[in-house]
Amino acid sequence: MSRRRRPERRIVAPDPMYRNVELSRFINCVMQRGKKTTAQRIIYNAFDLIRDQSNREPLEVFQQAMRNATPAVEVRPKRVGGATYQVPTELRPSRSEALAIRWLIRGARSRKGVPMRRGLADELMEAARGEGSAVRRKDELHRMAEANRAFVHYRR
Amino acid sequence: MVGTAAEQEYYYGTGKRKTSIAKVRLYLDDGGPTIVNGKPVDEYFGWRPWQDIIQEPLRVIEMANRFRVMVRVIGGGVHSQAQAIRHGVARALVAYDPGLKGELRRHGFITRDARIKESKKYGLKRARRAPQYTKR
Repeated sequence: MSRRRRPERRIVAPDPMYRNVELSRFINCVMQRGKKTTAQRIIYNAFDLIRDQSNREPLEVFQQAMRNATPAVEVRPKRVGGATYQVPTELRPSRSEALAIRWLIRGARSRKGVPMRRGLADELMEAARGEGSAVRRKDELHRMAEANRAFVHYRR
Repeated sequence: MVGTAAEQEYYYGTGKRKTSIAKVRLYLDDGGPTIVNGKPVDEYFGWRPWQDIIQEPLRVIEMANRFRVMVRVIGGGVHSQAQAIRHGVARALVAYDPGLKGELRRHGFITRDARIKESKKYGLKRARRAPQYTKR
């Protein structure tokens, strides 16, 4: 990260199929080694699986999944006089979206033995129902924030 | 530029991207299927997003059903070929009506994307990647 100036937030073009910017950012995070076409194929194939399996509009399932996986607060370590406290902090929208994307993709990737489209479809559908590893992670984080509520006054 | 081939008038534009070159002809017609290298688009570009790239200039000026697009495209990969065609279509549209240029430029269809593969340098592993430094 540059020490000289704040990095500017990039604007991304909406994705080609649904014209959705959030989905476009998600696709970019699925992408490895600059292979955007492959990433798009994975996502749209996963969406087809979602459509077949849940009879719901895949984009809505995706958006519901994102909402359920998006944290509102996180805990940041803060050292005060030798002791390290976990200080609950509110999140900027961009940060919480990035976390949700990261967790959903990590959850999908950790499903070994199935193609990524399958893993993504399952992870998204579970998250849309409020289950799955990404949502569990968010709840975990919220619980930690709640438990460390006493340290809120340390936040800067 | 206005040319004629087999008694029909068309507007011409050359589009490029990376190593792809597209020669685009726009025939004044009621839409009609887009032909790329003698095949229908959906056969030549077997994936929706690629086909959409080609139609973008016509979509933004809302004149898709006034032209029949005929393309000869060579070189490069599929994606860059699609983008070369988009560039060529935009230029052909400017040949048809220069007044469209501003609108097309706003969407970035007029600019030739100058990013090309950087050549490898001797003494380096790739274009910029230097061999690992060893002190002695």
